[in-house]
Amino acid sequence: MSNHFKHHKYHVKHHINDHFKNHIKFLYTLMMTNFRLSLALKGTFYFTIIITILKQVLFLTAWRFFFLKYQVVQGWNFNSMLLGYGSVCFSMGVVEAFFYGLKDLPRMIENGQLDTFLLQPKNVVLNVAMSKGDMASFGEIVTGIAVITYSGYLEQSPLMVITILILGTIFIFSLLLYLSCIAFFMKDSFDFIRELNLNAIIVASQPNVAYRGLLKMLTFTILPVAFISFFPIEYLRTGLWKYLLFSALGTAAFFAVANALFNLGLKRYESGNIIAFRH
Amino acid sequence: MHNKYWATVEISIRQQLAQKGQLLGRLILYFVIVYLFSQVFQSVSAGNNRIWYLAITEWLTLSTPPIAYRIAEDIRSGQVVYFMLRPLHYLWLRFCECMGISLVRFIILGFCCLGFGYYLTGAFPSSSTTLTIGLVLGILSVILYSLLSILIGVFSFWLKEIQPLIYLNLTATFCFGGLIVPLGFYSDTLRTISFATPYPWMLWWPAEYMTGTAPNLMLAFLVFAGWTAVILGLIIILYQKCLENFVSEGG
Repeated sequence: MSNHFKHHKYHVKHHINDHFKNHIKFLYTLMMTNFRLSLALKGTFYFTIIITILKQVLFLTAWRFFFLKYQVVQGWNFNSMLLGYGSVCFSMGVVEAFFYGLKDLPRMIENGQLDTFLLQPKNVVLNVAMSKGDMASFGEIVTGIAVITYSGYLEQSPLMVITILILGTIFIFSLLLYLSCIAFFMKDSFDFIRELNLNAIIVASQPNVAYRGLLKMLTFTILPVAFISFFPIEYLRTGLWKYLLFSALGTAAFFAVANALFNLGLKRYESGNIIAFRH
Repeated sequence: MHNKYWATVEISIRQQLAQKGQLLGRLILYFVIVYLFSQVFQSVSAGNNRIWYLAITEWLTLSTPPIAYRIAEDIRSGQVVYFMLRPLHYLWLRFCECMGISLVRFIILGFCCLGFGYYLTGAFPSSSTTLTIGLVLGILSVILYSLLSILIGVFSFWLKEIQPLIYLNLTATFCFGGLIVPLGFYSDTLRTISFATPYPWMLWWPAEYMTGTAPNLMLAFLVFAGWTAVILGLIIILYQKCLENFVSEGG
């Protein structure tokens, strides 16, 4: 009996290992395919990178003049803002580079094109997310790192900055998934979600230490961008560990909520009965 | 006059009104953004004019739909071919559609702007005459912004992905147009560069005028007209060029 149990346990463990290895191999293949696809149009690839960097420079230039006039916003100076912006920029870059499929998710839901993913014995969220990648988003990653370096925080506490960037990436992944789930509950919402995405990023990358009252609550709850900007920056600014803890716990909770919302939405999903192939 | 283009405007107005969820979402978005940024300005003790400025620029920006995506989608999918077979000009059709959507958003967001601005500051920014003239500048601004969006859409004949251009447009609107940070804060060089682009005339000028700080109305109209002619000209030239080279990808 005991031997049989051990054998069964060994078999299950072996099966899980194989399953995990297959999954990793599958995701790696998807990533490489996306990479090759992005590089197939070299002109567009480099053009996008240049535009991305230019866009960030313009954005920060405007804020530079704001801080030149007002110096400090509730204790945050221009460098604090750079850290927050750089973190959002880097995280967005990573998610767009490897998990761009999340941005297409609302359209897939609207058109009933999720069937292809639901039928595969793979994690649906990861499968959808990695179905597309935009390697030109490396521009955002590079700009994010450059901006954080310029802020001086990377030199000051490199390990903590790396931790914050990892948390930020998980947060942006969750944010895109969370907002995309609106498509399960609201018809014809693709444009709305796209704008909501953009505006969530704007709200996250501004000096949100100034937010107060009901809207501060909003950035802690319904649109919890405080976990990617307010808490990490406050941690690096003040050195108080509680801020990092809030950021980590909040990001983990948000990730769980986004996944739960996706699963809830799947129950409402209606197949489009479309015969579709993956690109 | 009730022609096919006017019918397009009518249809898109009805469609926009029918999409109540989307409209509501946009209103929420407007309130959230204006409220958040007004708090940033209040935290540095900026005056009421800055809050009104913000409310107006956001109103104008959010009134314009991103029509470039629609055009890019038509081109990418090959749908544009079917429109070419119809007795209407494809870009005019999209422009009219854009105007219909903008009209609904412009009116609704305009009321929100007045109401919310008053709620946040406790006063109107200027006299009713100035606001009425500002309204005309606002309409011109939406038209110019829509044309710019169409121009970006036309670029998708050559570019596989226009997303970077749209983002660049948004950032240029933010930086050169003074979406949040007014141009008055900039250095002379950056202000000169900004004024050489169409963006300040679409946002900074109408907002400054409505908050009672921008003089010289004639100059604004002239520059509006100039930029409209330039962008319209570019759209026509590029569209003609792409029609000549167009190879259908199916659809």
